[in-house]
Amino acid sequence: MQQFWLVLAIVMAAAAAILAPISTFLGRLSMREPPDLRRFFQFRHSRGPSRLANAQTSAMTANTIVQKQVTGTQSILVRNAYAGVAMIVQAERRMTA
Amino acid sequence: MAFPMQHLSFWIVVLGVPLLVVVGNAVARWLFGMPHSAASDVILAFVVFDAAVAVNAPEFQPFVKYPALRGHLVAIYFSLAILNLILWSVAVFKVEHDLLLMHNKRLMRYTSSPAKLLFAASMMSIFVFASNTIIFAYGG
Repeated sequence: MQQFWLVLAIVMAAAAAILAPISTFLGRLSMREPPDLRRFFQFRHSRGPSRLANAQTSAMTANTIVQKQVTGTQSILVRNAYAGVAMIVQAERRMTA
Repeated sequence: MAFPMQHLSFWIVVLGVPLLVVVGNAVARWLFGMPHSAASDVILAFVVFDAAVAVNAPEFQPFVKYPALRGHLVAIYFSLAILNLILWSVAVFKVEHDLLLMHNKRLMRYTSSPAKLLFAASMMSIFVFASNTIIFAYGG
């Protein structure tokens, strides 16, 4: 039982030794302005559309037009689900080609 | 009592994972401009865990690695539940309260370093993690 308290004390001592510098760093970090994540991700996405993205967009548009002609106008949910499935099928075909 | 590589899983369960969780939580909160938390919810979750272990002690007994403690599971986890409730009240009414006061909502950041409060909150979380899992992780 005594050994258990000793182990817990060692764990807490190790935690304190590791956490002291980490807390200091996190404290300093917390005073800095956080990066604008939305802008960061938009920047990453707007680096110029890749050829693959262009192909996917045109495929999605084409499929939506075909779907409209076949099934008529449907709800956004159904249309998006269809576009999603079409994208997956296209990607799979591209991988197997 | 040796702590070399054969106890790696013990150190991962008792210290590695809790450290990663605590630091990850702090970094995520900073990234989204939120005030830090004092892990009061984690402590409450462990109170529920303590109650579960105390009530279903016979089912948990085989997983206790130190044989001498198997018969005292109810007493140990009843004490841990009380201790966790005390820590919870300190976390909510002192640490988290002070962390919220220090956070500038408009600037979405702290204007003075909350390092001491972060250290206190992290130590409390790790103590709760370690004390509640050590019986299943160490011994045998």
